[in-house]
Amino acid sequence: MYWTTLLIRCLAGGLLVAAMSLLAEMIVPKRLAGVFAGMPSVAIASLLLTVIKRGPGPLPTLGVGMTVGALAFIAYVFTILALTTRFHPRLHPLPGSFLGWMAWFVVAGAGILVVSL
Amino acid sequence: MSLLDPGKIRKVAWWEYAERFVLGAPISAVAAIGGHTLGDKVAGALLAFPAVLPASLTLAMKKDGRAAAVEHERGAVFGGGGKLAFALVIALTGKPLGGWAIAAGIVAWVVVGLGSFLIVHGRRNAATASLETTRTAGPHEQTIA
Repeated sequence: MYWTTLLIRCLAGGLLVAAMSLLAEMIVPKRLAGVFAGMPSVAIASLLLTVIKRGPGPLPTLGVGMTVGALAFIAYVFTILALTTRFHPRLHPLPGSFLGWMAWFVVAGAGILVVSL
Repeated sequence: MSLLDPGKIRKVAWWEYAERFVLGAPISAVAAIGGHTLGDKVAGALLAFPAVLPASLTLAMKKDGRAAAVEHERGAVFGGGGKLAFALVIALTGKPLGGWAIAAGIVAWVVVGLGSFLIVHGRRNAATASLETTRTAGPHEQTIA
């Protein structure tokens, strides 16, 4: 049962990420396309599956964790923006994006520690 | 100018769809495993992990160039604000609204993410248009106006 749920989550998450990046590709103003990159598509799929499987009980706690994750997401975006426009203007946005993941982990890790105290 | 160009999808190869799928699927799995082993707060944080952005940046960079990719990053700031609003709504209304909190969160994402983008760009476009009018009108017409 656990593996079935995991597989469904993987499929739903993968399909939503693929769908959202293709939607972003179709949108002509690239800055507007970037707005959709911040759409919580994986979260929506995952939260729906959680409600179906466990009921709405875990939603507030998941929301607290997601608030921390979203703050880390904003830190991530500012990091990749600074890396690719100011500090290293020739840096390809993709490795810049992967470097930004480190910023995400630092902020999210610190945030989780704070909300867990 | 049209906001959507569906023709662009035809230029995307099948393996590029697969690439995006491969980026998104493990994030969902890690969030599920994280929730199972480390608790719901960690799982929630992992749900906000930036998975779509690197995927769409690869496409933007490949199809439209570096400047478009940077524009994409700038837009993601607004999307991130929307994501924060989504998360706060889930945290605050999860108990009273139950499953409907997800719908409320989506509304919050649209209002904050897209709303802030439209307000900022609406103002910027208005400022640009006003500057263009001033340049073309010249000092005499400005006095009359």
